[in-house]
Amino acid sequence: MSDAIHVRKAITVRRPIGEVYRAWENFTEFPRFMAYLDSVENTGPRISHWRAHEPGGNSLEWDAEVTEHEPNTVIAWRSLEGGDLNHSGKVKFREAPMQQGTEVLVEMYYAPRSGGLAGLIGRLSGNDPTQVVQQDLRRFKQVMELGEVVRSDASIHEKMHAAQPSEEPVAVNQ
Amino acid sequence: MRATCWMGKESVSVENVPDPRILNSGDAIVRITTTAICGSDLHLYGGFVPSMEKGDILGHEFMGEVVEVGRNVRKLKKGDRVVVPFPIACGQCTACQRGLTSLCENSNPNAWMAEKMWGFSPAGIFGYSHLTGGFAGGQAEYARVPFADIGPIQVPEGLTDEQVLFLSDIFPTGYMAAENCGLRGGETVAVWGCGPVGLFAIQSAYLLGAGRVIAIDRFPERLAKAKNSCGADVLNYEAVDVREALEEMTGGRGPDHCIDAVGMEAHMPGVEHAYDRVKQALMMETDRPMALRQAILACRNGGTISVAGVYGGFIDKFPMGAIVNRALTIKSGQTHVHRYLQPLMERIQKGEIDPSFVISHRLSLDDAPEAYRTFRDKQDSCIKVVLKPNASPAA
Repeated sequence: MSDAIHVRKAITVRRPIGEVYRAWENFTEFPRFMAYLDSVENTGPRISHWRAHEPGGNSLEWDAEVTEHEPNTVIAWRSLEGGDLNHSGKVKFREAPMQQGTEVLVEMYYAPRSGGLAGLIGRLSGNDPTQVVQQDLRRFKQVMELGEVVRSDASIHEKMHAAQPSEEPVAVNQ
Repeated sequence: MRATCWMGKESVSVENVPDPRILNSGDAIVRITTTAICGSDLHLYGGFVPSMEKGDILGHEFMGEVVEVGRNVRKLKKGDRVVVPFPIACGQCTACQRGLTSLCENSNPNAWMAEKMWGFSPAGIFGYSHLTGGFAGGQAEYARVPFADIGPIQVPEGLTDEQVLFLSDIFPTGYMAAENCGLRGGETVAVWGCGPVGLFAIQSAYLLGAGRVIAIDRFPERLAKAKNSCGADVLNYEAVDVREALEEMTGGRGPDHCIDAVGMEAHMPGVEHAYDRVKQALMMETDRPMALRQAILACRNGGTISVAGVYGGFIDKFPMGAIVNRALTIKSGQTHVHRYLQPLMERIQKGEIDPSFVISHRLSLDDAPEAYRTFRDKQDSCIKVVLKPNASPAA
């Protein structure tokens, strides 16, 4: 489909490969670092229910199943029929050289379900879906290495904001 | 609180803004006792750095008293008196573990923006545009300091603010520039620029064993400071041909190493706003990077060009042939301040250097708008301006 988005991105995380693999097995934690993802629940062996929102507020839901999982090597999932989004993901793991931790290679695929919809990620990110995936990976790295996503005075706001303190509530995943 | 805010090109004003708050569990809030204006702030002032927003708080050289700590802060306590390094570093990533704290892999939430300009992102920086994270700066009454256990250094008893403030940036910057020359002892080093960073580079080159330092500038008070406070031989580039003079002073060899402490000319024309244009190659109308080019041509064969001056984008007419054919090395980078804090604090304590010698102006935070103009125009023999948030404004 012409609106489909296929993104490949890598990041190195300074944590042992087992720890990193287990973090990606644990889908319920994905909202900590994935933009626009609200929740993921395990609903059965290998099956999970995902909820996301678009910036405008529209919510999307879909079910996914695990299609591959080999400890410390690969984990992959794909959405099932009937959801709002056609999505699959594959994450490969490799030890980084020189004791730098773990290399994570992510492939994400998104396609619109119904005609006329731009892909969720495409619309959210303007012209650069790679950027959204890469920001997700950066936040994953921060959660693994530091325990939380790093914030600045400007980045806590979803929209552009001056680099000065504010009293507004902090936006999710910012 | 009151804070110096960038309001547009050549426009700063001291505004009332909310007080900072803890945003990450490792943060501290610092009540600022002394802060300064940096030469690189002038690039922001002049509108030459992309991604500034109206209201951005400026300033990356600051110190003060810890007034609040996040729940995961272990080393710092309320009441501690600290100097804060300008790069923000997490301490856990590979770059930080290797001591390369200005390359922290985690501290720039806007890494995507920096990547588009530079290939990868360096660390976040206080008060230095959204390209480096959109962190509020320290020309203010208070600042939020992330990774409070990693960055700030406590100030020993008996040292004044003015003696230690410059550990935040310009003293380590001059020191790293000199260190990057790889001195073995006795070399002749030439330094372009006798502003504060150049002055610290001169001092540091001597501390690191240089035999002779030749300093180049055109402002009499800066040349005088380089000569009288730092012991350099000085050249006024408006009065002499610098390359001829350098050759004569070095027996025809050229200086062994050269330090560029000038950087992007302050009147470098503006670049397009990063938010809209970052994916395009930045077509910058460049001013000739006179100091850098001259340093390359003047340097002895096989020497090092140590670039401390800030550059943002692209330059043209770069003498790559000279680099290749004469085996020159270029070393650069934003300062890895954290690794210099303790050793340089010790040198200050031992009396080997009093960094306050660069200060020419002591003003209050409310004087900031005027101070930016004075500093930019080098009026009134201005070399370095420090600001005190609690002082009364100048008449």
